[in-house]
Parts: sequence; structure tokens; C-alpha cells
Amino acid sequence: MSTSQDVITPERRAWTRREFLYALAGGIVLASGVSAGRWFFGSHLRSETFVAKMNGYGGDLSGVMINGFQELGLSSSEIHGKRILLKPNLVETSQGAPHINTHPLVLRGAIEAFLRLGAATVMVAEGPGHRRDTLAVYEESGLADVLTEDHIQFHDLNYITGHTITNLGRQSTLRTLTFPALFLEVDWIVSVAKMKTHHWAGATLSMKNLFGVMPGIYYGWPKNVLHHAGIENSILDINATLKPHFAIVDGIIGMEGDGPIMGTPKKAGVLVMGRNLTAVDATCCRIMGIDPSKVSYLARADDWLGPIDERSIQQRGETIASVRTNFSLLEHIPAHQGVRLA
Amino acid sequence: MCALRANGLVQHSRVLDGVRLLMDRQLPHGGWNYGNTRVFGSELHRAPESTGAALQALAGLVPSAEIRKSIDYLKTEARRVRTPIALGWSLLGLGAWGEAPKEAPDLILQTVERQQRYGAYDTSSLALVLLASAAPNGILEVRI
Repeated sequence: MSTSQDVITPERRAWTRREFLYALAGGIVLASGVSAGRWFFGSHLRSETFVAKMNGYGGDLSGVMINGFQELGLSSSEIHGKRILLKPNLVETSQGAPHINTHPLVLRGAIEAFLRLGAATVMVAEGPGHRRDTLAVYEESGLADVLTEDHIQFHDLNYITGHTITNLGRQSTLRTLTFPALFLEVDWIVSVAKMKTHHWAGATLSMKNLFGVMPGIYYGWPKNVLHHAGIENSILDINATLKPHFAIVDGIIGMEGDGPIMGTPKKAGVLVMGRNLTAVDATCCRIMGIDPSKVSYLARADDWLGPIDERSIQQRGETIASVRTNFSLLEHIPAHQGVRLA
Repeated sequence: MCALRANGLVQHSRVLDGVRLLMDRQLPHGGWNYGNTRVFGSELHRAPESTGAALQALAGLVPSAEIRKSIDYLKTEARRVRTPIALGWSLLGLGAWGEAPKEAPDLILQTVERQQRYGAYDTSSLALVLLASAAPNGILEVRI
């Protein structure tokens, strides 16, 4: 994340002559009332995702992740010296329901993988959406024991100094967004999400996971300001403004049915990774038997924040067909209606 | 609510609104969370810190029978939790209803000692659990 500017500006390479001509044409189209951004940028969005089969949490998770990094072109020269912040999905804890949260061993695997690639530091940070007592979630989820043993720092993002910047997404009426000032001190933000259905959003994956970076002392519990501004709008605003660098989704045991809290465990047996969160989430949806184009925030992110079209996402590792396992959807939940992938 | 009550404004309209709101948001099986009770037919999970804060605010303002399930839940939770915010609010909420567990001092000590393993608590969390230690009958009974 930029440390020198209040507003995070999108990275943009120099335009080619062809792009310039497209832009010129796009401007003409815009003047005629058609969405030039989607028309112009859409054909350029390509991404890669990596899918690994994992039968359980006892395997060599860091080795699998490093293999994924290599498949995705993530080299040690790119990671060397970087300060990496891992953002898990820790919402709340409930006895007998560890599938609510990102498994601690997935975080341990990611920590080891980034350190082996030469990261200067790796830290874990989260602001749970449902609990005022972050420490309780941290300990009861089992993450505290893992990070304490590994001497990795954990940051509570709910009670933390904020840093306010312009909302670059402009999907909600929020003109600014307040992120943790801690983010000014890191180079990479990695969403380490859980593969779950969601009763409001359809599915919660790496993009929705970033709700948890918004400090509770500014946005309330369960991030009320963002719910009021619209869940889908807020997902898009946060991602467009924060520009996270990488995603790892824990689908080894996910959640189906009435997610993100009250659903039942679903063994999908996969880890999904990629640089583009929209593409990663679209791939996860397909693995879950959900059509990403029917998940509203992904459809809106398409051709803007990333691709969701299967033809625009190069699949590394396992094929989607080989790991697809339909997550149960509930008929009485509107966000689940009509989203099943054919 | 506690601030208004501590200043003698127990009949203030905002206190009365608060009572109505909290009783409306009490979970059917007892306890409170961040404010929702049911979504799509499922009763949501409760949290000790939210339950303790609600019970502290309601102390003496509603019949005890109406919050009995919440008290029972919290008495179990208070013996289980070992983090300062959850334990602090649990003890304050129970204490305000005269139901603080006898072993509260030991629970507080065990919680404070966990800093040796997990690192120092932030000031406000530590202050809360120490306040619970100094206020066995809840915040409104504290005399400084």
C-alpha cells in the first residue's frame, strides 16, 4: 500500500497507441450514453487462479502455497523484503463450528510460504464483525496458539487508529473510507478468506472478507455503516479503494446453507489462490456450483475490478470440473435463488 | 444508559428507549449479540460481552424473570471465558443482578495472567477487567 499519498491511485502502465485510439473511441461512446469503462477495459481483464486439492489441514500447506505462487508467477524477487499483512476471516466463534473462520493452519501455511519467499515480515490482522472482544475470537478460534508459537504479530483492526481516504469505488454514498493506519506500514495485503455461502451476498470469499478490515470503532458492529450503505456497494468500494494484492481461500472445509455463521460444514477439499480477488472469487463460486454472474457484486465487479468470465481466467493446478462440489443453497434466501451453476 | 442512570436520570426518555430496545433484542434462548436475534429463521449466536453490557444497563429496570435465561447463560460463560472484555462485562452484568460468581477474583487473576502467554492487553481492556474486580455489584454501585 502506498505510504506517500493519502489517496491510493490505481497502478496503470503506459498506454499503447491502440489503447489510446480505443480510449478516444470510448470517449465518443461515453458521450452517447454507453458505459465506456466497461466497454473499454473489459476486453483487457485477464487473470489466473490456482486451485489445489487438499484433503485436510494436516498436509504441507506452505508447500502447496509455494507451488501455487510459482504457478501464478509470484517469485521471491517480488516478495523479498516486503511487509505482508494477512487478513483472515474471523467473525465469531461457536463451539462445534470451526468452519465459520479461516483455519489457523491455513494462516500458518501462508506465513511460512511468504517468509520462505523472503518477506521481511508477515503479520495477521482482523476486526471481527460480530464480537466486541476480538481477543476472544482470536483465542477461541485457535489462531492465538498458532501465532504465539510462530512469534507472529496479531493486530486487532476493530480498535485501531484510522486513516481516511477518498472512496475510489463510488458505488455507495460514502465519500471516504477509513482504513487502519497500520496499512500505511505494509506492502502487501492478502485476503485469506473462507469459502462460504452468505445469506445476504450469495457467497462470501476473498472480496467480502475485506469487510473485516474496516475498524469497528468507526463502522460499528457488525460494520453497521457498511450494511446501511449496501453490502454489495461496500464490497466494491472497499476492494476498489484498498486494491488488495493477493487472495487465498480456505475451501478445505467451507460452509454451505445458511452462511456465513449458521450454515453447516462442507468439505470442498481445495485451496484457491490468485492475484486478482474477483477472479479468485469467480473460480470459487464455480467450485461451489454457483454461477458468479448471478452473484450481484461479482457481476458488478466484472470487467472493472477483475474478470469473472471463465474464458478470461486461466486455470492453474486442478480443473474446476475435477473439484466442483455443489454447496447447498436455501430456497427461502433470496440471495441463493437462481444462482446455481448449470 | 449507565451514564444517565449514574447521574440520577433513570426516568430519562433515552433510558426508557434503551430498555425497550434491549428487551426487543434479547435472544429467545437468552443473551445478546450485536443486535440481531433471527435471520431467515435461524436464531443467531450470543456473546458474553454483549450480554454482560446489556444486563448491566438493565439492572433493576426489568423483572428478573424476563432476563433469567440471559443470567443463566452468562453464569456459565463467566466461568469459561478468559479474555478481559468478555470476562469484564460478564462479571459486571452478573454483579449488577447480584449473581457474580464467588470465584470472580480467581477468574480475573487467571485472565490477567494470560498476558504472559499472549502479550500485554491494551489499556482499555485491562481497565475493564480491573473495574470488574473493583465493582462486584456492577458499575452503578462503584464508589470512588
